[in-house]
Amino acid sequence: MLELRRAEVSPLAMTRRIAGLKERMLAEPRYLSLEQALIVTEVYKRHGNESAPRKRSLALAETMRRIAIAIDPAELIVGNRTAGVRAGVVFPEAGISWIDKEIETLPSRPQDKFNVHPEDVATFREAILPFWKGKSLEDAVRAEAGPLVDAIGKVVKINQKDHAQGHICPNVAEWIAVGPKGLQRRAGAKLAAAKDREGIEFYASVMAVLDAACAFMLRYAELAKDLAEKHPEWRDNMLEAARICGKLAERPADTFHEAVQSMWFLFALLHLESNASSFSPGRADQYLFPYFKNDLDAGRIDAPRALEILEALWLKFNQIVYLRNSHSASFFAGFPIGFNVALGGVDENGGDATNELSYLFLKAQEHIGLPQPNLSARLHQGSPQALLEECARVIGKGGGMPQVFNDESIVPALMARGISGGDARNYAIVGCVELTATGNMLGWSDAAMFNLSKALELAMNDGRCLITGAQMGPGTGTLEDFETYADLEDAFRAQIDFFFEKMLRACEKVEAIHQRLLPSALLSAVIDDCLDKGVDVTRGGARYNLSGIQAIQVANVADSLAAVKKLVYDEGKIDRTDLLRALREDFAGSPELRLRLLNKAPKYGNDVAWVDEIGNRWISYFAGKFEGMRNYRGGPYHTGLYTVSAHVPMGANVGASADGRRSGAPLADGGMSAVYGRDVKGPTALLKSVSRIDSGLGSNGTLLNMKFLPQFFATREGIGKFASLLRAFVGLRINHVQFNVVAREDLLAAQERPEEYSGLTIRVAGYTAYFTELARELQDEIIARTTYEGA
Amino acid sequence: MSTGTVFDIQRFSLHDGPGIRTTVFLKGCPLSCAWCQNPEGIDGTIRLWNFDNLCVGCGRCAELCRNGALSSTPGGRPRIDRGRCVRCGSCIEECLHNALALDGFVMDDRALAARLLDDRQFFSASGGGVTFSGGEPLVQAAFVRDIAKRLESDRITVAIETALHIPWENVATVLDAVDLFHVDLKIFDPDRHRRATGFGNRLIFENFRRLAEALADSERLRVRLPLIPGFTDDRDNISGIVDFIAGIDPGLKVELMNFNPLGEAKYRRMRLPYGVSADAKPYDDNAMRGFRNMALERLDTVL
Repeated sequence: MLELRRAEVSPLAMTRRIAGLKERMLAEPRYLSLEQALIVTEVYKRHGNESAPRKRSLALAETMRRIAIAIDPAELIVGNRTAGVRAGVVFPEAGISWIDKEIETLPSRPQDKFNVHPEDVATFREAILPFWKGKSLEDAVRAEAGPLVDAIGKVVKINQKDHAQGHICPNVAEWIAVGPKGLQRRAGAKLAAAKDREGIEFYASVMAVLDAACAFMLRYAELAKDLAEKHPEWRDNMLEAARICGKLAERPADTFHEAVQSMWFLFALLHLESNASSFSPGRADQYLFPYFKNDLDAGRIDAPRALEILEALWLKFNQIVYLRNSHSASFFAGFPIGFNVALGGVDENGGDATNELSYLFLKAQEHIGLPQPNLSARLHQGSPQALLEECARVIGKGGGMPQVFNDESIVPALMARGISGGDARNYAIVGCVELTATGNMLGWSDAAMFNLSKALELAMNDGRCLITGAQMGPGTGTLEDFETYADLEDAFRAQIDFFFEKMLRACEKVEAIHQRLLPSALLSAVIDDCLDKGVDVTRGGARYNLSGIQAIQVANVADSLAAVKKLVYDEGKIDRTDLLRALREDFAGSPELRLRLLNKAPKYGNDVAWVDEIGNRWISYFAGKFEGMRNYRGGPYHTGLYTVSAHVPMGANVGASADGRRSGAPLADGGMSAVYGRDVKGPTALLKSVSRIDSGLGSNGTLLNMKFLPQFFATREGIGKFASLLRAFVGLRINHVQFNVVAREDLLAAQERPEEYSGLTIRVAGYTAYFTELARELQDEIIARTTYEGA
Repeated sequence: MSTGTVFDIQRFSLHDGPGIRTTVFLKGCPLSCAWCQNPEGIDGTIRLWNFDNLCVGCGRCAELCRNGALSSTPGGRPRIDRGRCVRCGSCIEECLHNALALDGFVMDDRALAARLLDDRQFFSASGGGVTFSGGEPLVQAAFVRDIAKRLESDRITVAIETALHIPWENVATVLDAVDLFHVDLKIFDPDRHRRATGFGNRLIFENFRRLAEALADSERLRVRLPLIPGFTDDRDNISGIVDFIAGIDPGLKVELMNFNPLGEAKYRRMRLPYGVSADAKPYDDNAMRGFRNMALERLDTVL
């Protein structure tokens, strides 16, 4: 049965309708949008004395009823949070001071430009900005936690200071099955029984926003009806859209098309409520499957139609973008907003859950090829070979998707954090790589990033910053004072401990302010057990309440300590005083010492057990400190090992390090990756090294980047071998990997900066070469060939 | 217990047999093919090399060498007197640019077998294993056999890449220990073979016939025909080899190996003369199809 469906899926092409929608979407200019900000400001002014939950729900409800809407008459799935696609929405409740600074440069900044209607500049400064002074999340955080956050800022980056948290996977299955009306009835029953003021207010807020959500859908039904008249060529399509929107305002979905539309409405609405990064659709192949199966059995749908609906949804995922300030945009380029869709994985009993939709998702990804959704394949020992090969094939197309997650290590890691076996097996991914239970957890996965590399720098230099000389940590001596390697380790521990305590206090303050200012009634309606408890999700209403702290960066810490241990303490090849001076001078007077650090000490990523174990030991030490700690919502903390792009700004804060890294240079990328170009033993050795970092320490999420050449995927045999590599990855119990298929541009960059690409190998029949060691002409030839093979 | 001389261990090899493999390159080969991809593997002894592309000519190695094996030249690069070098490795240890290296190392079978287990998870996930290549790995047949026996106890399969220019006893030594034989048949005409490789081919073709008989199972034997511009790529040569194979068993699988120009870089790096024209290119799809059709005239399966 499954094989038959796959045979049906593989030859499917993108329809003209989808191609047209994609083209029009990408051609539409992006604008800054003040519309919602004006409505919210008006409601807050009108209801100045009321409680935050009430103001928030009134503002959201009013927005749903008033905000301009639009439909492209060819659309199969309709709905957005603004009339224009990919608008940069201003969300004053969270923080807008940066917009005041950057509004003039938004259209011209180098990354992620937005047009600004000329009159909006004045509107923003006169009608929005003054009202929110002192009222926004950002202002409250600055007033109440600013000094604390700043004091530790070079070592610990506290997040969620100027935007709503997001990073959550709602219970989409329940939303589709019950619908807003059904949830409203549920809240109504609870309201009738509620006694305390807070509970009453909570349920009333939930009911108000759900009521407005139904109105929002009806507005789309009306608009679709109008368009049916105006666009005779799309009449049937618009009448069907009107029927579906109208129905969803009253009753739950029955068909696949209705279920997908229902799901999309939820995400548009959640973004209206919170303008946050990453509301995650999660395991959509699982919760959409019953609708697909019903339609299939009833003869209402076939694979091409289902794929077209999915591709319409895939386009929708690209229509909501996140407006970031220019600094953030330079690191998170391309407006990522984190519609993370998972496919495959185990079912509730541990059996394989892959279904026909899993394959259709991969096909949609191949066809659409846009940044969203962030598609994640969940693999386990029992994943079918066909799924592995299809993942390999789509990965080979470039674009880095699907990224791959490993149930064999993630499920036990989540269970160790107190998540039930059933909920752990049903995990989803939020944002980039953060792990969550589905529909019942606020993971607060990006609470903070702890720069262990900076703490190690302070440990080498008596708590003083190597860049500025400022005293940041406790005076624990300099490298000169440490007679033994163990002395250095003691100082490192003391530096970590010092910042750790302060970090926890800052995290608690930030969470308290979110609770006070950004209660989220709609989100609470779709996160178990908020409705049962009568408690908002920000206040701990969810079944699971975790907080995630990232440990940055295992590769640099392992490489630095390995170099010091071997060259200074074990072999005596480098003098402690010389090393300290070299680090203080950023190696200016000691190029040979730097070369020795680089070339004469083994590096993480090459399957050298003792080096990898240094990394594991320090991540374990850090993660172990959270044992028994409770976050502001009463749940546990845990650690993640990912930076996404933050390895660049975080590296800018770190002085020269003993791994030979220059002051201010980026840290290792990703989170679990080796330092760029230092893993020279190939992918199996890298994976072995990564597997030595206990995957349980990365229950908040880990990130490993690997690079391959397109030619690897050119043959069936190559795809089969890549699938085997995925199989081995599963067996090694590494939580995550994503594959960058090295394109022509990478090879050109390797020609320009060979030192960063020394590990890049070219594999052709019977012979392997390091790309950077080849003569220029041969490199050129390979580039020409790679371009061809990558096409 | 036996020891052998290895010049490289390559993990994640994808073209030396099924699955993901680790290829062990053993040093020493009686042939000296003009196009050899691994010229450092021909000489069986271990020698010190200096690499142009990495050397900055600092002269430290010449100062350090206690045996006078290294001397600075006006251009900065060291001159190596291999007669004086005792391969102590102290210059390598102190070369901060990693521009000096020995082209081989001695290992015993137990240590090497242990190292080859590093990627066992990848072997079992992919149906891969270990491949012995070279050089001519059968020069060190007893070493290959001893490692293969150790790997067998860990259920790791072993392949070998050989040119069979070796006494039959060496082949017989590994017959039961090796799961898959890749045999290179390069040139059919004995004189041409002598000119290109240094030796005639009678021993090779005789050994091949005996090996095919001894293995009985044709799945354990693969023929590789390297396509080298100006050496092996003419119709006479290809049909000569193909006819010979078909005469033994037309069901034998033959793999046509496209010319790989990347060897040239290695020759340049080692400052060795390269026997193939410097502008030789790999064959395009059309040409490869032509070779394939030629081979398919007499054989059942051409890869």
